[in-house]
Amino acid sequence: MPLPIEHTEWPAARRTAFLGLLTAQAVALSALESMLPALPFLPPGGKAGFSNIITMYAASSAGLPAALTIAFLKSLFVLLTRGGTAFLMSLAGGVVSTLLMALLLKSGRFGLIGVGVGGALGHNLAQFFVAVWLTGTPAIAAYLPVLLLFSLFSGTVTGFLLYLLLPALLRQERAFGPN
Amino acid sequence: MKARAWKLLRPADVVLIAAALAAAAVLCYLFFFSENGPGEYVAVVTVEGEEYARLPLSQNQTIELESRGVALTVESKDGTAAVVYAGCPDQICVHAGRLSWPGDSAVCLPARVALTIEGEGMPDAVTY
Repeated sequence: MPLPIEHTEWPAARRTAFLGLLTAQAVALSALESMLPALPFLPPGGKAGFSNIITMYAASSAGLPAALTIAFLKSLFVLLTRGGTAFLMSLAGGVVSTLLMALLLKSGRFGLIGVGVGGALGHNLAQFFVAVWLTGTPAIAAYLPVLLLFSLFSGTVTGFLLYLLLPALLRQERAFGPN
Repeated sequence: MKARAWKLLRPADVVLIAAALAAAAVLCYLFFFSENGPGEYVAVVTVEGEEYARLPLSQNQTIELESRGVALTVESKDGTAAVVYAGCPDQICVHAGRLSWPGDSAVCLPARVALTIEGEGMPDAVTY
């Protein structure tokens, strides 16, 4: 299994280009998953979280500040395309999930599925609390068990997809130059 | 972060998943603990944190409202309630479908509107 590498000695321009590419990929994944139909048995508003693949990878390979920047820029894209409310949800979910995934990765004790699940839980729980704040009522709390279960599923898928995509992502990173 | 080989699944992952499952089970118990049979369930419409309307599910009723520029139509019919129309871009509230049990909810975040079902048996809060 190839190794993600934190590159500490890249010149700034190369680093910027690399992160720009990752951001574009995160945005593309986010746009892709919003095109998936909302199946009736899935929790309303529950998202597949494919862009977490990128932020998870970035947290490991480029560091937390870079990963948070990617998450923030992705949310800006959401602001431009889907409006202010969606921006709040994306920002809350993205920041919390990236922080949590970075923590889990740093601990060294979790596999990719665990990190993916942690990211999904963080993402959906953060969005849940934003929804409670926006609607001003905790009455939607009964939604929580479904949300937790859905996070387990989507997080596992995300972690597994990163596992499948790691070789390609690393090839992409190496194409930017030697570490 | 040092370079290391990434594994797909490790013991800590299983612990995390188990903890989330346990939390879900506890929440299920708390929320659905005193679920009665069909009773007088009411659909509650909340706008920006304030209760706006109550529609008993036993009556067929339609209300229209607007909040933050989003028009919504809420309907109670045949023992269920639903957001049948919304002017918001994502339509998450409409996709939530028909609500029939206490705790069911449909939310339109751009409008800051929540539609929830309240029932007699549903605890508002649980203390020990």
